[in-house]
Amino acid sequence: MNQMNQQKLKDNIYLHFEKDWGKQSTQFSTCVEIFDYLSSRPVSQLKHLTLGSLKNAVKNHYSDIDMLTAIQYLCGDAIPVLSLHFEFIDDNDQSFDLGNHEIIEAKKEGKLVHPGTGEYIENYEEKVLMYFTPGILVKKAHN
Amino acid sequence: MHQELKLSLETLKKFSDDVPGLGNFANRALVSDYEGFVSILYNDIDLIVSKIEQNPELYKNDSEDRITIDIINQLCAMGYVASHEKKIGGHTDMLVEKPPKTWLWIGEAKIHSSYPYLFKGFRQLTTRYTSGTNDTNQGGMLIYIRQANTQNIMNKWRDYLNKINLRASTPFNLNTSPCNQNPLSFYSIHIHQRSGLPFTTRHIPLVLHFNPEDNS
Repeated sequence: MNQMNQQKLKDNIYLHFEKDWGKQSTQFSTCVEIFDYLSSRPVSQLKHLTLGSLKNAVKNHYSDIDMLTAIQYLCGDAIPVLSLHFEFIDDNDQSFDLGNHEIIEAKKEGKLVHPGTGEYIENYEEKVLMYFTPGILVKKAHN
Repeated sequence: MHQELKLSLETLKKFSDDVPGLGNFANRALVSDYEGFVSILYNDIDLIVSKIEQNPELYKNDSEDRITIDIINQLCAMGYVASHEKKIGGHTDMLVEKPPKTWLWIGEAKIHSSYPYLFKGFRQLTTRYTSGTNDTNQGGMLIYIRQANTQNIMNKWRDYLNKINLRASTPFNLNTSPCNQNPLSFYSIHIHQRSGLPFTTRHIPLVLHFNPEDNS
């Protein structure tokens, strides 16, 4: 994608934020700042974004509620700026990536199968964390 | 020292009152089939509807479109691809898409004035906008009710649909069933004219009657 098309894509994304939130809203600024951060870094450096790292990326300007509102929206189908992933952190702080089917099964059964040991984890909802990678739109803006 | 908030499935529950739809955030990402998509969409619509119903006085002069657009805006804030007046066989009141899949859910909105008027909307939904094929075999009637006793109106609407079905020259095999999520809603299933397959409609009332009898 040439520079002019990249700019056009970014302008369209900003317009979408404006249409959904209004230009004067906190949500608009949060979304713009997150998108600007993601599109200004190489994708290879954005492999494990957390709520905390995204908060730092926008210089802690926004509350947890503002960030969660923006993150939910940016993970949506309408404007896929972020892609959502799940990981399980065990009692030894070891992390295991989880596939969607593992979470679906855990929700059905009320317990998660430990991806390493095969043991059942009862209070899994506290131990399954969400992290993010750049979504399709950010990857397009990079190319 | 300030501790960083970990975004766990548990955290989503804790913040679900502060961020509309957040309780369903993970579920939306986990959807793997059309039925799951519609089921989660209904949870989100129910949440939006219950917030609107908390302040019926704010909606007492609003048009059908204005209320519908308010619901659509709130779905968009949750990340849905939701639109008003998009052309699919005609200009739909509410269209929710799930790209890159071809899943569609269409809602027809009506301010209740009479049962024939609601039936006109039901026919628009089921004979004009929806194809009734696998990826579009569910839809919704959003019924904005400014009169008292929503339960009574919904019962009468359900009876009206059943009678129309029996009297039709070509019966469309309509059956109704209660909705477990909301006692005021109900489901109808009938044979879709275009596809010949069963089509499920959820009939969702918005309780907007507002007539306080105090003096303030």
